[in-house]
Amino acid sequence: MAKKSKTKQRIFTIVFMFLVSSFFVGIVSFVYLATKEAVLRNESLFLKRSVLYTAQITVPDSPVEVEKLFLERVEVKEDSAGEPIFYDVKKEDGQVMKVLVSRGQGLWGEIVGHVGLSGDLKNIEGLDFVKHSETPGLGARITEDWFKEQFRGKKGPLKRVPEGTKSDKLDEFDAITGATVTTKAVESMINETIKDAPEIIKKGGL
Amino acid sequence: MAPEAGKITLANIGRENPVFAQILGICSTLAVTNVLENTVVMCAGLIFTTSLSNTTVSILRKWIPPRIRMMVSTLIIAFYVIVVDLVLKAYLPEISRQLGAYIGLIITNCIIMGRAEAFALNNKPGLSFIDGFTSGIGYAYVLLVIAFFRELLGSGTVWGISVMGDWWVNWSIMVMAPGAFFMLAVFIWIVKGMIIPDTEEVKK
Repeated sequence: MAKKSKTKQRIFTIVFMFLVSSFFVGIVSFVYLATKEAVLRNESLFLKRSVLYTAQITVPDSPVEVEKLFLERVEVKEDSAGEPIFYDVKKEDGQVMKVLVSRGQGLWGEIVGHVGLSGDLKNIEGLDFVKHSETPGLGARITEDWFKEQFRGKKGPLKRVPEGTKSDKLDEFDAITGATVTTKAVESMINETIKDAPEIIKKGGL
Repeated sequence: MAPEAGKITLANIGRENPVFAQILGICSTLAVTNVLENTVVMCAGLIFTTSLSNTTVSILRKWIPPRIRMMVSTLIIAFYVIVVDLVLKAYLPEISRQLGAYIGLIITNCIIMGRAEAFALNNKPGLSFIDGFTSGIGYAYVLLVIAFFRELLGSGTVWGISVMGDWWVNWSIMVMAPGAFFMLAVFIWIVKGMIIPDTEEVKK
């Protein structure tokens, strides 16, 4: 390469970068297209599982069963952009409850969750999180079962008490030690959702 | 090639370990080691990426113009990381959801770039693969040791299973990034002070 002229070297550099980039970007695009469907399917399946879990319906393991159960029991209400804002879920005893999509600001980013409310919008039936970027081991513990399960049957507006209290009062829940910001975010997410629920439901998802 | 490979392996795991000797990859050491499970996936991703990016850089080394070698290495590293990310999202959605941002962080891991720059550009593909792989192993075991103690002290669990019992009060600081600084410092202190004798003093 030492004998090549400077211009030739420069052109070679550009051509080389161009070719190498095209080659690798080409493969990445191919992998992206090949996995796109599976990725989308996984995401929608994850959401469906979460809605069923929030509504306290036992979630089957097989994806086919989940799809079937979801079709049978759940009616999705979307906004004008096609984003789900709440779900009508038929429970085992025939009653209809609501699962609302709830958003809040955590320590590192947005938290998106599902809040399940009884038909009269007064009792909390369940809670689940579908997206968060909280610290693993601290804020991310909101996805642990003990934390989510404690909300079943509670009545808003909620206030937090220290972790380990195991409060059975209807308006209290155990916070997570070392994750105050995250817990506060969850608290206000639930309380806001309960407050706004009648209006959201009335609009009926356009 | 065999004796050389052995030498490289030994160096990467011991005296020239990327974490405690070269102090590389500290950002991820701090970020992922608070829970053992995340650490394992991070290490697997890193070992995969260093081995393959080292090999690819080494194959292309005779054609890569020196002036743009960093750009090419970064491109190759990013390529492998994106492939890992997509494959996890498609086939192991649970793990992908848990790791989230960490996968992307592999791209910025200094060890990968360091090995491509210092080793792969001057050595044959076979040796480069071994170097990348063993560097990854050298990184992985240090992180696993740190993660084990951080999870144990910070959450009272190992691999998510509670082992410390109810009397144990969690050290929240171990779960946060500063805890990793303490653990890493203690680790380096033990290794450098007791296991590997100090070579720097001899040089003086």
